[in-house]
Amino acid sequence: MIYYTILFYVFAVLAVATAFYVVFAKNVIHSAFALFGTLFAVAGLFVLLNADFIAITQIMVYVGGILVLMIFGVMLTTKIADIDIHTKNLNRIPAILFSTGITVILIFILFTTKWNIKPQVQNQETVSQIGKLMLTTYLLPFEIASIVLLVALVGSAMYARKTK
Amino acid sequence: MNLWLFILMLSSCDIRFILLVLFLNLSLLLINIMIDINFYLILSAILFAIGVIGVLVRRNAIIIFMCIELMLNAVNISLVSFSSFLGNSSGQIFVFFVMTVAAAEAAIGLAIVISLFRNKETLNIDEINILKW
Repeated sequence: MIYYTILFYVFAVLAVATAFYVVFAKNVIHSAFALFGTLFAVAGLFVLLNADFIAITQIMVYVGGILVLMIFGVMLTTKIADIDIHTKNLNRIPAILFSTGITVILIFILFTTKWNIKPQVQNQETVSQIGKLMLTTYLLPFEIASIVLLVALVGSAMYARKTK
Repeated sequence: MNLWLFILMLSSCDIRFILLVLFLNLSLLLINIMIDINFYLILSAILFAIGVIGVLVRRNAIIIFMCIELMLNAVNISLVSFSSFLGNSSGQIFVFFVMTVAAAEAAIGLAIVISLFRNKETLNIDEINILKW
């Protein structure tokens, strides 16, 4: 149990530190690679929460798909010759105050709510439960999600194409 | 163990040693607390707030996309922790749909960014004001 706690703190600190680096890094490429660390730390937290299939999906979809797409976007939209890859910030103080307020309100709500929780069941099978739910209760959203992905595929290809 | 460290701390006057002992005591205290759902939800709130800071502060369109992904990940953490602590797998299904929408959003968004860059030669969202009148 103590390894569980230590692993939780390691993943939490890793996630928060790399998330800060994503936000405050001057170089866009550096923040893309810091996002890599955040996504892996979140995958580790999913494993700690007995959601192994979600963790693998997180690594496959986010790290293997979305992050590579982001890095392609960075590479395609910056010229190597000029140093326009650095960007400036503004409104730093009001933004930090606003989001600190959000955090304080959320944590206050968390501590004042009585969650109806059960003790965690270790090593339960998740894949079969997800499959059953996906094909019975959530069948219609599942099909709609496939249509959303198809439309996104066609639409992004249409947008990114050179128009004459 | 703690008492022994405390006596050592008082007997030495090295500030680094005192800080080390304080850090060790704090980590011992933190390790002995059982991890329950509040820890995951607080982590999720903090990650969400970091994403909000990024969206408000940065002016680069791609960084804003990354911060939106951070906020979606924070929501995913809270959904999975509820699913795990309530013993109900429906939360994990919601995480799948969030991931689907995030993938679609990233693809469309980067296509828009690339076509904007082709037309305006910039990614600063203060200069992308074609729809303003």
